[in-house]
Amino acid sequence: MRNSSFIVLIAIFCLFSTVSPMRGDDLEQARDRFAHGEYDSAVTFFEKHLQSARPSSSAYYELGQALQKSEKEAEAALAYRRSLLLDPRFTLAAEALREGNARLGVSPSVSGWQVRWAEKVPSDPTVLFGALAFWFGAFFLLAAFALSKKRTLLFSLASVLLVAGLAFCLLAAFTDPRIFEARQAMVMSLSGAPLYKVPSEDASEKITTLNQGSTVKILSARGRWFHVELPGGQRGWFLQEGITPVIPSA
Amino acid sequence: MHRLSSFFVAAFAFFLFGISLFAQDATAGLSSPATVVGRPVEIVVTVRDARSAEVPQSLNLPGLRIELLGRSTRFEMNNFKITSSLTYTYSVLPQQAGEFDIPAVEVRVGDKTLKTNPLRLSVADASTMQPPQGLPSAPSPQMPPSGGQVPRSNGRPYFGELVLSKKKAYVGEVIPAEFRYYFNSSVGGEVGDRPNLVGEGFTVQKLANVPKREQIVNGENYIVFAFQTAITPAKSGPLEIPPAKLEARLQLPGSAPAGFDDFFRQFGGVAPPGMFTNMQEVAIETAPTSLEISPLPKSGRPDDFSGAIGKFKMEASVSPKKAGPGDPVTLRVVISGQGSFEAMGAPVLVGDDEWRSYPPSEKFQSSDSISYSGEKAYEFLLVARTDQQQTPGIRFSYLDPDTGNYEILTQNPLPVQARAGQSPAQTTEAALEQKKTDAPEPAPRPSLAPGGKAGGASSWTSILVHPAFLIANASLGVIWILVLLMILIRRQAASPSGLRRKKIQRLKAALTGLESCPEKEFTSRAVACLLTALGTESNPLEADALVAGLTVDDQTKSQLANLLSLDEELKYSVGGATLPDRDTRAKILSALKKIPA
Repeated sequence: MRNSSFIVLIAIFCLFSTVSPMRGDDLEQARDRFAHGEYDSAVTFFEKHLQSARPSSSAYYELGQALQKSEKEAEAALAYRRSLLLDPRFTLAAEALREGNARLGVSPSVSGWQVRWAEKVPSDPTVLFGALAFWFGAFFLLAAFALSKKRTLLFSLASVLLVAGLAFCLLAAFTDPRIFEARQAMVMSLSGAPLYKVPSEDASEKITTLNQGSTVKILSARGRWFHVELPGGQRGWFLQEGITPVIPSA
Repeated sequence: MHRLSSFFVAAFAFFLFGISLFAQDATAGLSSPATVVGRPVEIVVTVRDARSAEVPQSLNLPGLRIELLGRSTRFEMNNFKITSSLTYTYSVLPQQAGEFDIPAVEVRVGDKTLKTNPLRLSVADASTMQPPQGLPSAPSPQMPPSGGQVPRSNGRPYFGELVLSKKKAYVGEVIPAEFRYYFNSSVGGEVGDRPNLVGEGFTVQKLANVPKREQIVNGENYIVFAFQTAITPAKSGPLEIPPAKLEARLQLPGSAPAGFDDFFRQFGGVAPPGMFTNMQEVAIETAPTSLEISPLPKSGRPDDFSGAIGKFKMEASVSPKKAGPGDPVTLRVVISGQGSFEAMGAPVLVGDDEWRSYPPSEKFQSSDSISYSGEKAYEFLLVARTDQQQTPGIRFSYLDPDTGNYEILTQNPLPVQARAGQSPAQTTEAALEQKKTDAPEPAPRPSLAPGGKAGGASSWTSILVHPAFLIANASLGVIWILVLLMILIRRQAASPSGLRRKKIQRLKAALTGLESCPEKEFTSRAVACLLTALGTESNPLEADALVAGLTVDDQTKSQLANLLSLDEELKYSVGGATLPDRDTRAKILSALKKIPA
């Protein structure tokens, strides 16, 4: 019995030791191609790596750099945006995105309090801390209920922990860009994307044309159309072609 | 009396006539803004609110022969406002082709000199009609006024028409079009911003306003509001351009108020036409127009055809002429002409194997309001892989809609001195080679993400909605509820009611066991039941007193007292007391069951 467990452990170790270098190979290849100035090839390897590995902020940043070198400004801006979505505190990606937007002629978006908070406080640790505090508070509450001694102290402690935990979790939920920017999409079409009042290609219903690299919020989808909201609050319809969601579909 | 009335009416009319003669102006209009050599057109000079004026007999303009033909006077009465206008008609005979700017005509009214608006006339050569250079503010010979014929007013004070440059086109071809709305100059009012056109199977450029102009239609002077656009068919087959509607609010002739007709009839006449007008909301529509759209010809289509339809020419330049090692040169290609600039793809480079090239940037500069004419500049960034003396060649193909043939424009390579250099990538390659041969030191490589920063999340899903996080929290929640239930149960069990319930359960179990217990054990177990029921297991001596205090009948009390004495007898007597018989046991059981809970 002990022998069979040992064999299973060895097998798992071997599996991981083969899978990891395969993932790492693509990344290494991509970095190597980048270093040699073969940017198109580097882009291919970065994309391959990101398809097989877990998404990472730095990998998207590196992909953005390679795309930028390949003069694919809009794709680079999308990669930087994705990098920032994973890590809003990644200042290099934020700077690169700002420069990319300037080259694309896209006006920078106004940073709300959520973005400013996310740039300072990481979301996932906040959630974990909040959850931990909440459950400590919940079990202290039980203790206060069960025990006859130090009830007031336990009850006070439990209340503070419960409220603080809940507040941290809610704050993280409101400031995590993966939640509040989950429906963001970017105009990738070189000629921009026309925004219509109604889901029809009738030129007289056209409101405006958004530049390549502009971001919009997808409200709903209907057939070939996206119902979107512009940063200024104006709503309209875009053809789905040429619009790419910022969070890649699984 | 009759004479007196006539005098007052005449005096009133003269008074109004006199009042109205204060706003004089002079305007000029062409019967057609375009013509060909030898085909005369007319200039009509209208002088408002004047009874006499002096105009030149002829106008001197090289290439045009302009002479005065005649004059007419016109009186109108609108809502008691009388206006008079003098109309002078000039004949214009074009003697050569070209664009002519006809200067303002000077009109002398009394001691004042009025000037008309200047006019522009396009004159084409009758034998060789050239395609339009864009869509000018006035129609070109290929897009004649009123779609090839003079517009017909049919006596209407307003009407609309759609003028298309052609009736047959290819899918994706840009067709310049003009929506024109004519309003008789005697009609006042307001006109909407732009017409509304909705249809399928084509796309329309944004409508561009054209400065309003005057035009003579069937001898009447009309103000023309025009809107230029470009229509691009999206599918082959017959294409119907539906009516385009323009809203307007016009002062149109109306009926006289009740009693006025009788008033004029007294003097043997009727109210003058146009004396009474009403403001009316009207929608002026153009007539629906059909087009025949053909698919792009397949024969002779070049592989690099990228959708350009029209007439184009190509120019190219390179800068700098000398480039240092690894330095890029910019190859600028300008495609100019008329056609589908929006759908156009970039030219292709020929023989660029020894160059590293990147997708070109592009910039379109339109020379008209509908993006039909203009030039599109593409800039290729080229870096020589090996030393080069000339750039790659350039090729651009397009479809000429007039001939239906694909045309290919080519540009020979341009001279340039570009040296292959030590680009950053090559430097790294060299460093790697050096590493292989000489030293084991690692080759320098640019860091993409300085510091190897790999912070942030590693999932597109926030931990808040991550399944593992949700499961962990749900588990903790279940545990918390279970613990809470346990505490509640324990607290309930320790409460007086819980204890009482527990006692009753114990008593019931004891009584059930008593019914089937051995005869010898009956008395002791019955006493134990009694003590439990009385709650005095720890102090049996109090049992007698408690039995006496029970709220049961005397017979039951007596049975329970006998049970206690029998138990004592069995415990303490030597030689033995007699065990209770079956009947006694039944009575004891009955008495025990009667003890209140």
